[in-house]
Amino acid sequence: MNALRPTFPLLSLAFVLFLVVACSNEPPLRSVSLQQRLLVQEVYAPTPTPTTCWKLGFDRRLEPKEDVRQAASLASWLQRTTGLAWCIWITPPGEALIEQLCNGEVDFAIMGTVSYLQAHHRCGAQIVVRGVNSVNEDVYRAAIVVPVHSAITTLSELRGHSFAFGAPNSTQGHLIPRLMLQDAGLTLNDLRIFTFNESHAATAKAVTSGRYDAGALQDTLALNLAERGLVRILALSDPYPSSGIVAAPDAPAQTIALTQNALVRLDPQGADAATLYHWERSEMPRGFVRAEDADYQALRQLAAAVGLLEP
Amino acid sequence: MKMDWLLALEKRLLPRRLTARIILSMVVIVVSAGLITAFAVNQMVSRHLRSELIASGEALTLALGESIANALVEGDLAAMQEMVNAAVANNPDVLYAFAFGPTTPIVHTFRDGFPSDLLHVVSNVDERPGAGVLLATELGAVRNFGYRPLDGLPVEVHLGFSQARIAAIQQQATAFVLMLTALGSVVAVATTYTFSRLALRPLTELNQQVQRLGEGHFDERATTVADDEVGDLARAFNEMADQIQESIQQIRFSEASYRDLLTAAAVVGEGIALICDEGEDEGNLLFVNEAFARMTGYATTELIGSNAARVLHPDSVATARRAWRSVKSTQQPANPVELSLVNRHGEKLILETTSTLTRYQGRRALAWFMRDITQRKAQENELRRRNRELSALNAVASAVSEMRSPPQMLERALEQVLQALDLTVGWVVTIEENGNAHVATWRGFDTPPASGFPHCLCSAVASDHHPIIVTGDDTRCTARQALMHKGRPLCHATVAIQARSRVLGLLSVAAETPHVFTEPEIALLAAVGQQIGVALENAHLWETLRQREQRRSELLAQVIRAQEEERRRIARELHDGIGQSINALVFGLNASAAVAHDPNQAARLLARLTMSASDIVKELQDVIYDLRPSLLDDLGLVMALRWCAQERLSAQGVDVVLDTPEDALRLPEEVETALFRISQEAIANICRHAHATQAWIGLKVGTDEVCMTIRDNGVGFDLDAFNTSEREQRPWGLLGMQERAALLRGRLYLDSEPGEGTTVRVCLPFGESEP
Repeated sequence: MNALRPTFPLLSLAFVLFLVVACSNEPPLRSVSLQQRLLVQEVYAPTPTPTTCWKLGFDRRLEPKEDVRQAASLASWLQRTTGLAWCIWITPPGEALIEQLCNGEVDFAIMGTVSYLQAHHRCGAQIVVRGVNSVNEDVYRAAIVVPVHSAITTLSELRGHSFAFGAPNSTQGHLIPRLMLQDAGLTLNDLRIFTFNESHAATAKAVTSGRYDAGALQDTLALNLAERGLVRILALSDPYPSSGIVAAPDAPAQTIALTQNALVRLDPQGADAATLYHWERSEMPRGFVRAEDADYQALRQLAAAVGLLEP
Repeated sequence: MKMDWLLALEKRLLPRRLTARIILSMVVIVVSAGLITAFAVNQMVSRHLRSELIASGEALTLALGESIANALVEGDLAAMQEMVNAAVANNPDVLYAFAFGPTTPIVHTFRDGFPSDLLHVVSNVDERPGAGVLLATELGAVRNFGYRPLDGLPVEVHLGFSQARIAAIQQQATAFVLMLTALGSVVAVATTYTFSRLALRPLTELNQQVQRLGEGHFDERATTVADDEVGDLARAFNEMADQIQESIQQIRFSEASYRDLLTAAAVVGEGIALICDEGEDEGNLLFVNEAFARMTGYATTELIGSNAARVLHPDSVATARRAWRSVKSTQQPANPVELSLVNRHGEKLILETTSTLTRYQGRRALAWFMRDITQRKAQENELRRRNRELSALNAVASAVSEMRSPPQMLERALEQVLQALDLTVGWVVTIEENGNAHVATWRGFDTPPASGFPHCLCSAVASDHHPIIVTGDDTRCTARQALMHKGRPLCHATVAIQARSRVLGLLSVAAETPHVFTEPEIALLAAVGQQIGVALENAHLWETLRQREQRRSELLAQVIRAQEEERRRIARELHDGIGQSINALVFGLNASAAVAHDPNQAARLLARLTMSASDIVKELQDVIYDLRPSLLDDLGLVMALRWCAQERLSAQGVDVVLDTPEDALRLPEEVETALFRISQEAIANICRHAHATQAWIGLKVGTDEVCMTIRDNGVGFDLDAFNTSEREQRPWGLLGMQERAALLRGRLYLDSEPGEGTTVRVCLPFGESEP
């Protein structure tokens, strides 16, 4: 018993030290000064070492960050599948993706039909694949929607009402709806006011908010919104070859073929679903099929007719 | 050792008074509890707030990243700036925020410029903010959360959360607990002091009573016996005091008995010593009784306090320590051990000892009991030596008693001696009467060692009869070359094999060291030598006796044959000589009647008959002389010798020289007869075989012995062939001479060589003869 007395304080001290050590699980502090060595000029983050890669551009469809995430996930998938280095290219504000594709800044681009027709018209860019929609069709349609409680029931009743288009170069947001209005006997002059939005989402918001009496949307988005009871579809167009991925005019044929072969194997709803970012929200939720320029002849004529291929 | 140091430190640091110790203990407990509580609260608050901050930081960073992502993609610097400013403004814990896109500069909330140090945390973030990175800044600990909202693009959002609020809350909680601890300590001191004063008062009184008990007041008892723990203690104290009082009485009685036991042991010679078994006096004698003092020769006062090893023989110290260690380890009395002790006079004593553990004067001690067995051991050793000696002698006696030839007996005896002495090398040299020596038997050699007798060292034993020990390096030893064992010369001891003061041989045994040959060993060897000598002598005697008996038997037969021959010769002589003469006389007498009428014729016949009767008488006298001359009986030996020499030798032309004393010499009848018959035989041999021309007959008479010598210059003979001749060819006449001499305890010497003549010398004792 006497022998235990001197060891008791040591055991207590050891226990306290154990507690201290056990509770101190903070990572070590990194010393940083917030008030010294200040950079008063415009500061850029250290840029990573530039690497050579095939640049994948994209035009705006949804929100910018969503477009970026979808394109980045596809680039990542292409890198893994083709063995080539891929990176995405964000077109800065005020610049055109068609220009960048034609002048070689971008090697491949996810773009709509009108943009393809313009790029082909301008510099000979070539379509590689086109998208397959949610019902497994390699065509798409445009939809003209109205608010759910709108009194408008036919296209001809749009006369004298406000109308929201998508981007001017948008096939589903502008080109095909113009043809649908034209078939209904309406021109832009018959509308009370009209506007162009940069994305289908903006067009949908304009309609659902009631700021515009009707709007032109891609069919998939329109159907989705209609299912959720946010809009009512006034009319659906005939099917047209969907948008896809376009190669720059000077892209190597071997790279184009490798990319094309890879893309037609893309399985967004199967093996590749985890890699792709919300691909169901894109215009090609079921992947791609091979595309040729001849598939777009009808649309090319329509585009030319409405002046989208000028000059 | 370490424990002792800690106990000493505890004794030095802690106050002596129990009250102070209790108060100190309480303060220590309260302070320790307070410190542990403060630490625990501090840690809990810290962990909780840190978790909360991390959760908030992560959520806010994610939210900012999501909201600013579009602006980052678009390069909308204004929107970006607005959002980071809002993040800082709306969260007091956020010290700073900054973000940048792939083509935009860093948009931040630092007024005076962006800290370059923060560039180190840029581009080093995960996709999720996680727990962030803890930074040590001038403003305290800051946790930086970083987020990359767009995978694949160099787009990052950073928020810096100050941990100052956590530290402040921690400090407040710690200060509060410490304040409570200090307050609790004060209360604890006051409470403990009051309580201890009240609680320890009976203990103080009890302490005083214990002190008085310790001072020897064994009738001291506690009077205040409350019904609490102190009361239990007081009752226990009273019981303890009762038991102590009783125990002390028992101890006193036990000590008295113990002293009586020690004294009684001393009276009967049992030595007892108590050896201290602990502390600085370990190994020192605490107590010795008179018997122990007597054994050692020291006074008890000289012994007490000295080390027990002082009186132990150096050879026994290790044994004693082993025995004592055994006692201590087994806690059982040790088995008896024999130890040697050296007393004051240097004499070595052998003790039979045992020991056991005990206590003496409050100290652990070894009780060491001993008994002097020196004399008994000496007797045992002597008895053992004698037994061994007797065994050896018995073995040798058994060996020599068997009916064996001398060489076999010697070999067997040597074997038994070596076995008895536990040796392997030995040899026996026999010495003949003429002084020649040869190695009769040996052990431990391939070839017999050269005895070198009589020039070796051992030869001295034959002359002075004393045993000798020859060392291996003594170059005078002639057997030295043979006595090599493993390259080293052996030494050897040699004793005489003697019988009736005559050395018949030498017995030698060899060993590696002369220390083997102790006085008892040499005595044993000498005894064996004597025994072998007697046996050897007996063997010789038996052999002599056997030969003599054989010769006597043969001689008896020869005597019988000679008797018959002599009878036939006498009969023949009586028949052919005397008988015919008597017949002629009878015929003459018969014829006398016819001539009686003629006186002349009768006178002539009578004269002739008278001559015939005279011839018959003479022939009869010759026969009687041949059988035993009456001359010997009438005139003595000298005259008989002279007559015989003349009758036999001179008659054959041998010139005889007689060297005899006066003719009137008379000797005992049996001596004269023996000498006469021997001379008759010797003279007959000269006549028959010697072809001698001269002969000498001498007779010397001493005071108690008479010697007769008969020598001739004849052809002589081979004496060795004579001794080894076959039975049929033995010279029975010479054997008869020897036998006659032996019958009178005399000696007959025969010396002859071919061509050198023959000498027969016989000496016979006379006068007082032994039975």
